[in-house]
Amino acid sequence: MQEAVPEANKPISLSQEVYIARPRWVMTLKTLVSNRSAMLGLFIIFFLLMVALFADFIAPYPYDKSMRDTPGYVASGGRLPERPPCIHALGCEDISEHYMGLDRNSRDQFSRIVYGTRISLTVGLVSVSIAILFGTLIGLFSGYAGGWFDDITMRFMDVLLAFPSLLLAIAIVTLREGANLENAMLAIGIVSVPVYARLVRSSVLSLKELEYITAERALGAGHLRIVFWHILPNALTPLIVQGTLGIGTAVIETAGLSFLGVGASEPIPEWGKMLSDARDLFQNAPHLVLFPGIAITITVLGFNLLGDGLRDVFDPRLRGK
Amino acid sequence: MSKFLLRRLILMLPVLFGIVLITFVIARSIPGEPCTAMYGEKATPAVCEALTIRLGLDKTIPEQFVVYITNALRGDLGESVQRGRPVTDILAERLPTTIELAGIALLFAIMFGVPLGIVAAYYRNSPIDVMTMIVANMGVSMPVFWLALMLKVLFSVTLKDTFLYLPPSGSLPAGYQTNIIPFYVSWGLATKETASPFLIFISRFNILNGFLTLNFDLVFQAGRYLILPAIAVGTIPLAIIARMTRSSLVDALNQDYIRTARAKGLKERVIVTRHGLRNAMLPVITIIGLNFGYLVSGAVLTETIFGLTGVGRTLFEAITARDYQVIQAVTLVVAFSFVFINLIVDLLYGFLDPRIRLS
Repeated sequence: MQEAVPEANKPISLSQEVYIARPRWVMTLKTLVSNRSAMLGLFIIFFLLMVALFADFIAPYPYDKSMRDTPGYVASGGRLPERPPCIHALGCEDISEHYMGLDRNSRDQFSRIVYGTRISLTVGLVSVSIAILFGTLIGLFSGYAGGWFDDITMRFMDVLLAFPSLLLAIAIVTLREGANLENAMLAIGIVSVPVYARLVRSSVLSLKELEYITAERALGAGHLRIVFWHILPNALTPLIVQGTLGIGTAVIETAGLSFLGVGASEPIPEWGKMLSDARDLFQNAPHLVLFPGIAITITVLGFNLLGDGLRDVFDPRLRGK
Repeated sequence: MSKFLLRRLILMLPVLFGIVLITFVIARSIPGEPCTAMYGEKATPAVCEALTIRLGLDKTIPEQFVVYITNALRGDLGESVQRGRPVTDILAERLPTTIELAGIALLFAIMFGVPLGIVAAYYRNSPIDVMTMIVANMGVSMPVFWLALMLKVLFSVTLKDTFLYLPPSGSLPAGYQTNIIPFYVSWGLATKETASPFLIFISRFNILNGFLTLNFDLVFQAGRYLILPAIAVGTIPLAIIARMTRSSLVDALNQDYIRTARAKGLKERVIVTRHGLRNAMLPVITIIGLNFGYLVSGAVLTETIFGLTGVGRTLFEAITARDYQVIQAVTLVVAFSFVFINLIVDLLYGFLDPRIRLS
């Protein structure tokens, strides 16, 4: 008969008792997946990316093709250039289907919205990258250095911030001699630099007084190491929130520039341009106003939801609560 | 505190100079001749030359700048090429509409944004939070001019025959303007002929004037016309304020001092308002200050849609007509007011956070 081993003397199973540290990114990913709004945002962005990538396959027509040239289209009763949505399953008798109707130049609005996804995603990413890159550098060094350097830089940022971004963007576009999408992107990027600079700076100001920075300095860490290794990571959270929000703002501001006639030019299917073309038709052809606006809103919403979710994930203080 | 204020005021001077300089450069750099923009086909070389001399555009750029600054210090912002009137007069006429619009929009944004954010933060991850944040996210995601157009479609076209109908454009019903008694007349300060420019300026704020003269019908009418534009302009700031309040308050409520406050047995209301909210307000106030730009861009984009004769619309028309003086003046006024709003924000920082005041 085997002798019973007392409970206390049993060997410990390592796999059960010892906490196995997982890599940080696994934890982050797990938190991200469990965050519903982030997932919804990610889903929307993924969806938009797919639409942008496969626009050629999704859009039934080229974005600049007028339906009035289509053989047999006039015979089918193409009376007005701008026509409401026409879907065969809902009893439309036209030769071709137009899920979102035709615009005033008789182009298929659905195709234009699909191709517009490419434009808006590009505009958002490029301009926010410009803004974050310069804004972060300025904010970090200005806040960390303090003194006259901080004063001068921030006063300059104040001057830039004092102008309504739309007006400054218009000015930059006109200074670059030409209303086109590249200038609009650049203008919106430059215009939002001060926002990031101030945001990063305000984080830096409170962070650099904290004990762990003093400790780090006492240990002999150099300024660059402190700035990029210890301050920047802790200043990232508001930057991420603002950056994701910024992509949305960039999309909206590009639309605003195009709405005022200093952004995208014909025949680029930029959503704001489409709204601008349709603004005086809102009573007779509300579909031309409705769909581009919905497209903008969904795009911006995707980035906002993701930003909110990322914020919760990246802030360790919120984790697991 | 007064030392802090003095330092901020001195630091403002270079900013104000920078604004004047940038404004000047921008206005001069807008491509296209004001002459052709103004006279169109009638722009003969002789006409254009006369105009150039009258505007001082034949002088060198530094000379023009010096003249501009000297005049501006005397309150003379030049003459509108497009309208042939002093720019100061145009601004005095049109600023009240925009200020009223922006003020109501901001009030709307703060009144709904901050409470929404508090509720969402306190009941974090509950259905209330999720719903609030979805609504806030929708709000921040809409282009202001699209929202304006859709509000017009909804309240002026779809709801035309219901009590919810709201006027699509203008600032007062037709013919109503003539019935308005300015407050200085009913207070016996001056007559319409003898009133000082300042009194006239104040009396152009329709809602304020309505309150001052106890004419509540005027308040109601002017309000009805301002609701749609104010909602359109205020929605983005509202959503941003709600998001910022939430995220900042969530941060604050996770701090140790909140746990201590709970352990002391304080009431939840006191914990949230006095310990949480007060510490969470700093980023919120920053974001409110930064939102001034949204209000102005919103005004530029919506005033034309709603037929309001404000500064935004003036600016839009001036850019189209290359009306340098007006562009300069509007930009200048907007930028200056932003600097002063920022100053107030900075002072509020010191008021809310003693650590900043002491440093």
